[in-house]
Amino acid sequence: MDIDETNSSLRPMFCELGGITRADGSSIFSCGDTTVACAVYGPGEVRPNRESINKSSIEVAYRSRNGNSGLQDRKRELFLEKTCESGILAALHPRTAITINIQEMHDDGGLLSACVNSAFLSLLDACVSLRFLVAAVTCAVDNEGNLHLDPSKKEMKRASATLVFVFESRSHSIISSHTEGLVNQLKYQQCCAMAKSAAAKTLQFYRVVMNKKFSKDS
Amino acid sequence: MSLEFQALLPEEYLIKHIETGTRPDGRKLTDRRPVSIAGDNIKSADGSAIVKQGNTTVICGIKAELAKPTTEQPDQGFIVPNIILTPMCHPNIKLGPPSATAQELSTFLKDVVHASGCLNLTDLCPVPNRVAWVLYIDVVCLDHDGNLRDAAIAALIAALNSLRLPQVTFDEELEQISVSKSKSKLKILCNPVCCSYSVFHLESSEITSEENTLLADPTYAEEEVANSEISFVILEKGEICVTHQTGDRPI
Repeated sequence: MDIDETNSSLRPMFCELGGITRADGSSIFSCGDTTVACAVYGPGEVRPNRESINKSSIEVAYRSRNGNSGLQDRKRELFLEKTCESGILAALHPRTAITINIQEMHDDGGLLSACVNSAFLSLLDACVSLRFLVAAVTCAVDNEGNLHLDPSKKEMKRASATLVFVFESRSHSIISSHTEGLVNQLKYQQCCAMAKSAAAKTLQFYRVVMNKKFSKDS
Repeated sequence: MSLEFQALLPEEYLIKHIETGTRPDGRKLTDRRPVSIAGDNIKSADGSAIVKQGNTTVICGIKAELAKPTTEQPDQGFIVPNIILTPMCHPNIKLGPPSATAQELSTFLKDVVHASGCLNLTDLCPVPNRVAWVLYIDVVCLDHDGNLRDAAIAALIAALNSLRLPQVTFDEELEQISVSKSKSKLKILCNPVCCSYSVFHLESSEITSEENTLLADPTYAEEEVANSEISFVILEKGEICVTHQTGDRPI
């Protein structure tokens, strides 16, 4: 008897904006147990070699919890840089740099999508002009072919494929994606559809967070 | 006249071409450049391949060394892929430590090898707990005319297919490693292929009704000007093993 054990709900999300007081904008975002802290400085001083005359230079620095810097960290930095570049209106601030510092606090699966979400929440807190908001979602496909939305670290280890999708808020289409592992085309489409509906919930969570920031109670 | 146009307004130059359905080098939007792959050319390496995709030229060399396997995975060998963008391959590449793009490409190669399952890491461990192979896979770009991902993956897989490793035995009593003279090929379980596209966001297009136009196998000039890039790594049966998409506009 085949029971379709598709787990299609996101873990509870929590976010605190403005925790890092010296930064222009910051957020501590957690999805389940995966927690990421992000601080945004900018638009500000740029190093001459990265100065661009018609737009701001987006720099991302990612640090993992154990401090050993490796190629995986560079990969995450580049992914975040490209995703943030697409969302930020960099042309408004030429010859400056917007620096996004991300610190992994705990990894319980879905780290890359937590980093993207936390980066955009920090950019909102810093009042950087954005073209759109993004919501990143991770999916895992296990060996039996079941789909797991927002997998924990255990589920990710057991998975035969993990997929990260980043959706944008206006047209709900995909800005960036990264897949690792074997998945056939049908499963890919299914993961995409499942992630899309989860992204809508993430964007609603952003609204709740921003409402809290500007409400009179806090 | 067209050279000046390309130098001053590269984006406009390319978009004018795309709107008529062809590209500056004469290809249609979905045409790939002809690829030639030659394996096993470098005799000093244990496995090698040269790939030429249009003007993009990439060489892959594999050197195998012996090492002690880790205690966490005592029956698995190691794969260390590394891509080197030499200053000779493009005027924009300078001498120095690997740039972020080079490092990202190296992790991309590693992800493809692990995700596709083309190699069984236990095949790389002739004597568990004692001796394992480390494959240092160096992909060197000699000429960068766009689409390094496809060329690098093709070179890597071709070099793996040409790799020959000797037999290794370990004598427990004498604690000696002995390596045979005869070499045998490594078992490659599948051959992943990478397809990359550059995405252009056009206001209106006569050719396609969608807003996004995909260009297969982009050249360097097309990549520089593109809004986004997207790559798929697919196995023979059509399963997708690694995808990578980043860029300006949503798809």
